Amino acid sequence: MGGHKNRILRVNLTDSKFSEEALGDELIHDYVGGRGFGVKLLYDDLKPGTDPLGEANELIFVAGPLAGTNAQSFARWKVFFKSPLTGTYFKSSGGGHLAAEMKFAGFDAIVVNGVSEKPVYLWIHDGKYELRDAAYLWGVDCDDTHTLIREELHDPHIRVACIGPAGEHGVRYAGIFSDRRTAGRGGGGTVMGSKRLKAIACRGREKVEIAEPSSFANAVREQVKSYKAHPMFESFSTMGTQTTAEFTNLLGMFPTKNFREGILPGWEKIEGAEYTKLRVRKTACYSCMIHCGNITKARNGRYPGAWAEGPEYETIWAFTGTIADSDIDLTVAADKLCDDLGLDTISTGSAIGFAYELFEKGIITTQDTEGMELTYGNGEPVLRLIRQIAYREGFGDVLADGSLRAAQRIGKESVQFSMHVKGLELPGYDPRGAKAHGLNLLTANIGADHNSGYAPQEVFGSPIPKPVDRFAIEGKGELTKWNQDLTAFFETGILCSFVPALGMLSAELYGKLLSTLTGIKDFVDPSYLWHVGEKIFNLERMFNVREGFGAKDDVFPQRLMSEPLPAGPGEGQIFEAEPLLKAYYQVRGWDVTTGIPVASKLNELGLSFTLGR
Amino acid sequence: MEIEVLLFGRFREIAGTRQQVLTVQEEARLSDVLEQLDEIYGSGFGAEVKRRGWVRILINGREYGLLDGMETLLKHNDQIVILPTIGGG
Repeated sequence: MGGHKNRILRVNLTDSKFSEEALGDELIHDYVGGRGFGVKLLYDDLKPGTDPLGEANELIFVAGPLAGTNAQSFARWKVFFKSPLTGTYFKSSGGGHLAAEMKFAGFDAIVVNGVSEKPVYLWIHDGKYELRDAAYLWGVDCDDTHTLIREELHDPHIRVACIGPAGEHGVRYAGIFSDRRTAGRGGGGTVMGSKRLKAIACRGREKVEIAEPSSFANAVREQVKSYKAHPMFESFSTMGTQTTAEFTNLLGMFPTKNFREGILPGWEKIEGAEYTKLRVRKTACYSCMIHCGNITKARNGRYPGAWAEGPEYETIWAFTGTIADSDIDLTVAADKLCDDLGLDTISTGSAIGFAYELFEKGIITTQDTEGMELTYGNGEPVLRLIRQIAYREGFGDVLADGSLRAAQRIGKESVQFSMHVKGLELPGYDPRGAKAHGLNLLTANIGADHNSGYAPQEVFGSPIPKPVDRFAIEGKGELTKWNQDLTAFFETGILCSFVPALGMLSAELYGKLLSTLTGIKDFVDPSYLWHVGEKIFNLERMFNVREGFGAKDDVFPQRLMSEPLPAGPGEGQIFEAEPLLKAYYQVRGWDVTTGIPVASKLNELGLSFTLGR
Repeated sequence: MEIEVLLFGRFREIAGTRQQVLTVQEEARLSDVLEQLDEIYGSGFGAEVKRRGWVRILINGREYGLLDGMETLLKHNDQIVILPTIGGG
């Protein structure tokens, strides 16, 4: 078999039992890999109503079919679970080297359930596996956990995915960290902490078999050539995501002061050229010639010695726009602290921004914050708040459950100031300034996730499939479906999301890579890949439908739908949810009232097994 | 009348400046401004801008292609932004 190892490892932490099973021809053919496997396994294994923090919830790590080969930009790993933040199906994704090492160690997927009595970590090497004592690692930060595991096992090349103190303390948006690349969103680290699983560690020397080696090599050569020829390759390689704040501010859609404004005063201080001055090294994921990663070091100012891998755009926004402070050094220091303590930067920054608005409105005071003045432009309290969140101390304990639950606990009409969809905090894009981008945030199956169907057409002016007016409503249902299904099929290989956003890999070439790798002819056909993408998206939706979600949950905070952007290029814009959603449900083949896929659509996609469940 | 031009990425590298205020004749169009930039910074600048599809030109935050393209009529104090189409979330 090419690409896949055809082995799933199942681990039950309650009784420390292991089992292995094959992926099987049907799963491979029908779901291709990566995100396809993750959603199918999770849908089949979990009963509706499963407690996200209980024994029955699963944590499914998946490496894609192309991971571990020399095809470019397929190094990402994904983790699937029912989210303790949203209660929905969840997928979260990190880069680095873990996925390739999982394959070298012999596995496509690792399915963890149960709850261990004591802290443990899972050590997988050359097809073998064991649970090891992690009591001494409990409480240790993410970077040091990597170091200690590598030292304990006497191998510096071991790849690790671990949680930090935030996951151990049940912060609902704790992430999973692998060499400072993060599956940050949705509380995968929280689920891992609830199972007392500190880390997984992988090492192996198995090969990834290739069905048609010479044709595969040609396809990889074609991919490398197309990267090099792309007009944006060199620039993205140099800058990574650190230029995106330029776009969002220039377009007037950089969420500022909890989505009340669209331009951050002083945003010039956080534009790409300013991060270039702080860049000390480039980094890359396994087999990726883009090497978009940046090691950044703060200047010797308020945060002497602070450095980070990043910050990526979302983190830059999360610690500037939210608090109306354009302190570039703070973004570096906050990024590293979140990486060390094991927090998702988007939800952390958004929860802090929510607290700043409550403070401004007098809903909370210095009595609640132990003297911290949460006033706009004052970034001073941020690092202290991050620590408090990670350890559930002081006011951080309130914010550690996410802004929606925090608002429900605080009361006093604060729910309207929680900026979320389905409980997941919104990222750094104001939906009023880009309607397809917003429509994706509204309908993504994990809550407000920009990467489920990013609209590069609106944010970056990408001409693929065609240029669009970002404020227009017409055609946005169709475009959102296009972006979401495209993302879903590229994520069967767990392709990095920046590649399709820049139009650097076509469906045709992806099909060529997949089919020559696996030997499965159907994969060469782009229409088959589009079909699988749509199927994955609908199966995720059906997981959520089974949990009671529907159109009633595809809702933005009222602010975005009734308060116009006050100034800038987006001045006067609101998010017109009703017509946008209606068009979207129609083009998806979903009931326009309930938002549930209709039976004929499910049958067409081969998902009839979800009917009546 | 005066037009503010903001430059990013390699356009800034070629020009050596972030911001440029140009004085143009009344009823100038976008194409007039680009011609003037070419005169100031040399033909390399225009060639870069003409790599259509991967250069973003915004006039007061709006895509030039969704206005009147190169023929878009400018007015005093308009802001033109020229930036490469790169980024990611």
